[in-house]
Formats: sequence, structure tokens, C-alpha cells
Amino acid sequence: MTGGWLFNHQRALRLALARLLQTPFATLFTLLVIGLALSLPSAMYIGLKNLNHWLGHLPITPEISVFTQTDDPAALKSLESALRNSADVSAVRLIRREEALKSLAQQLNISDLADGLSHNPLPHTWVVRLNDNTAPERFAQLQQQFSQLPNVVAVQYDAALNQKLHALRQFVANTTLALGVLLAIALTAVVANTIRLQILTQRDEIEVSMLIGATDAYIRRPFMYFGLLQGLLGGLTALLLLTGFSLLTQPYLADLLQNYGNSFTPQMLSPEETLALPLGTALLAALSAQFAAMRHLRQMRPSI
Amino acid sequence: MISFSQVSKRFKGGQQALNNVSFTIESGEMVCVTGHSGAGKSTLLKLIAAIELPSNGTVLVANQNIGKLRPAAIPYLRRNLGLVFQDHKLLYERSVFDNTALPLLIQGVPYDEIGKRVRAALDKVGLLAFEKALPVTLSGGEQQRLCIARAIVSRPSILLADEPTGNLDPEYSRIIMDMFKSFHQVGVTVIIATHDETMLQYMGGRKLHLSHGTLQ
Repeated sequence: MTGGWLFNHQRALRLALARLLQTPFATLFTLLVIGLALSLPSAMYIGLKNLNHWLGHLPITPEISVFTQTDDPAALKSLESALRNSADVSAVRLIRREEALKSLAQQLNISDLADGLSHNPLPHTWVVRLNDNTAPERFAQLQQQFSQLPNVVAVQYDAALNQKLHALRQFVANTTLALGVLLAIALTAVVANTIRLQILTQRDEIEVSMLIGATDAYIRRPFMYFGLLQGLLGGLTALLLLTGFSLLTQPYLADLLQNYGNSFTPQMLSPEETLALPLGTALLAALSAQFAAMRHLRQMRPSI
Repeated sequence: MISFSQVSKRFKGGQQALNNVSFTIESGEMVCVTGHSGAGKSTLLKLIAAIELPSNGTVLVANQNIGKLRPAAIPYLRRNLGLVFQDHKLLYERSVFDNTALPLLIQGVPYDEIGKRVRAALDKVGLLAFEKALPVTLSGGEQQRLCIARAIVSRPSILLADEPTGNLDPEYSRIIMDMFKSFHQVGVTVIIATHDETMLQYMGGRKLHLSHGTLQ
């Protein structure tokens, strides 16, 4: 008797497409609204990606200096392996006291600095490079931990700079997330509202259909597809806007970046992210449409 | 079989539409529900189609208790019913064909079969030539016939008609009444709510007379 699942879904999809095309201007504006709402957090996300990428290329690196007075090669070696032992450490490099004195002499512009001293007062330094995303609290813990190692006389790091960089990253990441959540809510509201209008204009048909035996799922399905298509096309609109925006700004950005050396190339969305944006919004919009339709149909169910 | 036992229906405003009504309609029977306007005729039909639920008592339609039906089961109950409305409830921006095809689409009948069955139904009510027309271009009687075509296209076992000859002149009324008679003859249970005396005399069959919500 029934033509089956596929038949019903094909019909609903066709109906949804027809309804989108029935009002091309309204559809265009809705897609622009969704596209703009999505492109804002996406642009910020791309900005965050670039910021992180840029910070990684800056000469400022998360480092801890560990000073030692021992000259014993074996002791230096065992200190190195103790430092390497931590999961946060990405590299370890030794600056010998002779090198340090030489660079100090250069910095102070006193060529005979070493001659004026009876012995080299500087310590050997193990420069411990940490992973890029190490939290500032971790620096203090590592400082504590390293200062308890044998032969270590002092441990230093630039706490303030690290704190600032970390805070900057956190701020941008949290703002992007908050904006993303806010605009996801805006997306669901926009979709729910168009569904509400659709239901109002098709009130007669829905009522008659209910009276002659349509299930709720049958009535809801075209609206669900309507939302799905809106989300998908809205996501694609956002990608289009982002691409247009980046094409417009690219020359200026390239100019700006020239000043920071050639090592940096601007990052865009990865292929996975490019795919995830329209699919994610399609899913969200379909869910929103489904809920909106469910709510409005319940209100319309005759008198029960 | 349709059976009402001690059914009452009170609306939210406190208005009592039906009061302690009991009767049974066998399948294949033709019954006219009569009474002045506001006597509860429409409410009685709506209870059969689960458009309203009883406040008290039990309504059984094909062994299903309307008052205890899950909302999800109601559409399947309605697919066994053909409903003819006094105000037609046609979709005015859809063609005659599309209006008639609606129940079949809802039930997921394959497209190639829909065409055949819609034309058969339109032929039966004499509207085959108007397939592509919009309902607004039809006369009142033709619109009522279109509503009947939509009610019978899915071959329901029960046909419910609420004032089907309400605003029609006698000639059109006669045509419609003959249609209901022919459905009854092929075994369909026909229940007609009407206050039209000529229709009552012409139709014959059992009468259920309602007065202020009670059965006389």
C-alpha cells in the first residue's frame, strides 16, 4: 500500500526545494542573514588560527633557563636527561659559561671584560624550550621542579611575557567560542522563524492534511528539509563571503606580513573545516526546523 | 461498526454539545443524523473522526476506543474514513486533480497509481473534465462534489458527511444524494448529518434525531 520511505523523502525534498524557489528574494535574504551570521565567527576562528600560527613564528618562545655551577661533564649530562624527562619539554640546549661571557662582553661592548676578571663568574645555562601551548601555571611548577634537581643554582623564565601571550590566546579563543554559540542561536532563531512563516502560509493545507490522515512526520518532513537546505545553502554563502573577504584583504595582509619576515603564510580553513561548516549548519538548521515545526503543529492540532 | 455508549461532550467554555448519547451503527448501514442547528450533529461526526474527544463515555470505531487512542494512531484511523465537510475545506491554489490526490499522497500511494485512482474518483462525481481547473472556478455544487471525490478516492469503509447539501439548490442536492446512495449500495457505511427535510425523505435509511445534545 505505501510507496515507502524513499518516496516520502523524495517528495518532501522536492516540496522544500519548490518552496525555497517560490520566494526567491525572501530566500536570498534569509541565506544572506545566515551566511553573515556564520561568517563572523568563522572569520574570527581563522584569525585565531593565524594568531597562533604567527605567535609560533615569533622569536619569543616559551623557555626556562636553568643555571648550574658544576663543570663535571657527567653531572651536566645527567642534568640534561633529567630536564628532558618532562612531557612539556620540546628541546634542551646548553650555553656554556665561556659563550655566555663572550656574548655578555659583546652586549656591553667591553672587549677585555674577561681579562679584568680573575675567574668567569657566570654559570652554565641549560635553556629548556617548552611546548607552545604550555599553560602559565605550568611554568611555575616546572621552575619549582627544576630548582630541586642536583647542581642547579637558579631557574628563571619570563613569566610576564608568557602570561600575556597565553592570556591573549585564551581571550581570542573564548571570544570566538562565545560568538560562535551566540550566532548558532541566531541561526536557529532565523530558521525557526522562517518555518513559522511557512507554516502560517500553509495553514489550510496542514489542517486539511491532518483531517484526512496525514501523520505528524509527513507534515513535518518538508519543513525539516526546508531547514536543512537553508542551513546548507547558508553555510555555503558563509564560505563564499569568507573567500570574497580574504581575496579582498589578501594584498594588504601580504604587505603587512612582509614586515614580519617571509616565514609566515596566512592560514585559511582546512578542507575538513570547509566541509564541516555547511554540513554543521545544515544539521543545526534541520534540527531547529524540526523542533519549530513540532511546536507549531502541536498548537494547530484541532482542539484536543 | 461504530458504537457510542453514554457519550457526553462538554467544550472548554462549558457548552454541552452531547449528553449521554448511545447508539450503534453496523458496517454497511446508511444513517442520517438530524436535528436543529446546534443540536450536536457536527460534534457527533467529529467524535467518530477523533477531531474531538469525548468528555465521558466510550466511542468505538472499528473496535478502536477513540478516547484512548494514542495521538500517533489517529492519522491511521482517519485513513479509513472519508470526510465531506460543509465548508468543503478545499485547497484553493491547487488544481482539482491535486486536491483529489492529497489523501493518496499522504498514504504514500505510488505516482502511477495515483493518476488512475484520482481520475476514477473524479469520473464518479462528474468532474473529470475539470481535472486541471482551480476550485474557485467551480460552482458550489461542483466544489461539494470535489470534496466528495477527495473523500472517496482512498476507498474508505466509512463516509462521514456534514451538511453536504447545505447551500445547494434542489437539483444539485439530488445529484449529491444519489452519489451517497450509490456508495451505500457498494457497501460503504454512510453517515450524513443534515437538517434538510427533502434530503431526509429522499435518502431513507435510519434516522438519529438529536435535540439539544440528547438522542430522541
